[in-house]
Amino acid sequence: MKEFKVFLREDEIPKQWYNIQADLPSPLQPIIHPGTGQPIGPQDLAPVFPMNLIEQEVNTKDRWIDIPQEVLEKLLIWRPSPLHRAYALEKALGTPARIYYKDEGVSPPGSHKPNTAIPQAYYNKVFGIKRIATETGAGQWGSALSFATCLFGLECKVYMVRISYDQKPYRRLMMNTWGANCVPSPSKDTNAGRKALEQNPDSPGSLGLAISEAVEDTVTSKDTRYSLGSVLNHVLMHQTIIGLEAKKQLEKFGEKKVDIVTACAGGGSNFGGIAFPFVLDKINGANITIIPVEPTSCPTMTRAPFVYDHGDTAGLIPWAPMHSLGHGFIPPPIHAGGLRYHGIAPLLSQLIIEGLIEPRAYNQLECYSAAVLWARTEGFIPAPETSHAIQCVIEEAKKAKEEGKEKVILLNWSGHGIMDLGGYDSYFSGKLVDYPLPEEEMKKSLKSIEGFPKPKMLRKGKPI
Amino acid sequence: MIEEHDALIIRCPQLGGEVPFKYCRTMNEDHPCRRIMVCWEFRIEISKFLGGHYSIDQIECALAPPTKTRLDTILELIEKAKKLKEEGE
Repeated sequence: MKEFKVFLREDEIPKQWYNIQADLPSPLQPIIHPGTGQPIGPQDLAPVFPMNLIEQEVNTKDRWIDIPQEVLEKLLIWRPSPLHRAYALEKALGTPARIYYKDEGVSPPGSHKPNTAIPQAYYNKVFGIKRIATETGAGQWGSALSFATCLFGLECKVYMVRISYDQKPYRRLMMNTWGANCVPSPSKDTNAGRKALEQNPDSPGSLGLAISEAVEDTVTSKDTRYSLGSVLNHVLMHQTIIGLEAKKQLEKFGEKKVDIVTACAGGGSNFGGIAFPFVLDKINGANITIIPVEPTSCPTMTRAPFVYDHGDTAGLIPWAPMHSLGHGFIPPPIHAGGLRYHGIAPLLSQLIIEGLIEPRAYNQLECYSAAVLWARTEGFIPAPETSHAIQCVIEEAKKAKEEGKEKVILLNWSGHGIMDLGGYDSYFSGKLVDYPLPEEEMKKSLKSIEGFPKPKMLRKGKPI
Repeated sequence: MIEEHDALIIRCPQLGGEVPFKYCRTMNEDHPCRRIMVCWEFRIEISKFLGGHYSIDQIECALAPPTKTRLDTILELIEKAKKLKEEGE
């Protein structure tokens, strides 16, 4: 009988994370402090992050970082996650390619986010932190951090954008169930929130305001730190457990090599999680095509130049070198909330420059078409974000058919779309439109970052 | 009438959820979201709407990239926290 999915035994869970910073042919450019124009040091970040996480953030020497036993025991609640073979999709496409997908939707909060929420909660706890503050838009990250802090007995305060707080009571209830204090932003708990409420008691809030509240809370409260679910180096490193597990599972499927690895890339943690262990193989000479996928309407990786930009739309986080459309970029109405990040993680930017990963962009209509084909073959209804990577898989599988090659394709299936059926409704009713960013729009956006300092472009340690 | 489109619904790419147009025109301290032009371009005459209800200064202010003010604010908060910590010790 053929195998449809492979589980690892619990004692086979990876015991170390992979730190790709140790293997980068060129080091990351330093983050510039907007106030001084100088590279920031650990002490600049200390008020918002515990030093043990900052040490991971700037660690460029250690390729492997031990996963603490306490963290492993929490990850084992749902990990190792299964690796599936997509037989039905293969059959529908008539492809000789063998398609595998890593199911990261099996965690209690339903996404890959707790892979970093749990270690972040742990490291905060051992550093003596009692309480973590964060912001959340629709509630995915807030849910994951609430779950993690619950497991380690930490307090958690989540500032959830008011309009989502009112619209998504189930997400809020998930956080409450795990013991977090989820409040609508603007709240009366911070100066930023009170000011917004004074101006408009019915303010629906915004992500920028929620970030302001969470950071203000952090720096003005005792034993409190801030937590971020994407973009940062240590966040991506925590996610590498996905790819490390997948490698072992592919071996159990009898695969000796993988030809293509792909995942959608918003802030980069989902993609980095599955891809980085394979990037290591590529650095060591393996012939692997590694593809982060984004929407054509928000082409952060595929069309934008490499510039310094603020790491968040609110302009709060210190400048970091990344591919960016400028923090004034206005994303079109795509149905993929998780891909909304306008600047990809600096690590991904560097890997693009090095030629180690090859970003690709797809239109939302073809992605929804891919998602529907997936649902009608593999059964699971993918999240809008995941559908972009599925489109890439389908394109590559068709190419393998044309070439008559038995390629091995690995996809990170980052989550289901059950909470996002409104997007499917819009697709079925013909309300969605494709909107590749026009050159004029791109030029207009880039004007916002004209005065920013430009980082060096290095490939294999040499300027290009 | 500024409320004319308020009931229309769109998915907000920043939040990852459905929002009414009213949110898009008020979420930025009662001014339009920076993304309002692109998000609504294919649904309503958004330029005409903005021009009809806001001054040029208001539009430029709302749609302009964020200044360093917020970053300055957070750095001030960090300095304040450092002082509080020193006082606590």
